[in-house]
Amino acid sequence: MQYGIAIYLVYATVAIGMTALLARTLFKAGAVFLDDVFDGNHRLAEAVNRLLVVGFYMLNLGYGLFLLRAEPQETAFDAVAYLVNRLAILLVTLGVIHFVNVYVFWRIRHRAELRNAPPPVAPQVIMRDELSPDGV
Amino acid sequence: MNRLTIVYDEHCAVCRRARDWLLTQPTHVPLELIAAGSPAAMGRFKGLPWLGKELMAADDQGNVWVGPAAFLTALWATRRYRGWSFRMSGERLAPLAESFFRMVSARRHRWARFLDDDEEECSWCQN
Repeated sequence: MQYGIAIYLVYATVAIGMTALLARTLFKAGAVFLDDVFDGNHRLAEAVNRLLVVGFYMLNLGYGLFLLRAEPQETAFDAVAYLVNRLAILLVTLGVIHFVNVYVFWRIRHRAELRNAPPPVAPQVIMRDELSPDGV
Repeated sequence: MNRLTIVYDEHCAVCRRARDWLLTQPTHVPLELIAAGSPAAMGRFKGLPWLGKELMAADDQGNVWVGPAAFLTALWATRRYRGWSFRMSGERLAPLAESFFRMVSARRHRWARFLDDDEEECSWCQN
């Protein structure tokens, strides 16, 4: 008996399931970050979030499918071993991509924080009176 | 803050070079660079003893930063180096950044000869 089709089916189920689960987590948690970054501009935050998640889907599913080139395996043990090996590679890759995504979120937030930050040091003098109306 | 005014020493080549560099930088706040000896600077900052001696930065609300603080505030105004202004004002780098700035500032007139300085030939930095 050969196990080619079985490998494909199990692999596809797990790969799509994992990707969907991760994408949902990313979407939900990312929304909180982006809402904060875009100052409550929900539509923009949602748009950016959606774009990121779509990219995540394409990358993961594409890579997941690309990864699998199963040859029919002779024994059940070989088939399971092959499957586990492929899933391991897929999971590690998904993990890396996920952390890259979190880093991107963090970068976006950090930049927004910098943009609104006051000067790093306090002024030495405050001259209220000498200021003429037009500032110069 | 709507505008940041930097008052530099127009008699020093390093300062003019720094000004030219600053003018090329994209900034978060509109920058205005004025020479310490100009009428504008004399009129606005005549009460301050650092005028012409130290780098100064002033916003439109009357806050004035002097010396190393002005240097950090100028960096803070730039888009590219705002992150560095915070790093350099942090506990670890602040003493180093301050002494570096003081060192450059105190010897600023001596650096001119290393910078083959031709103001007139610099066509992109007129201001």
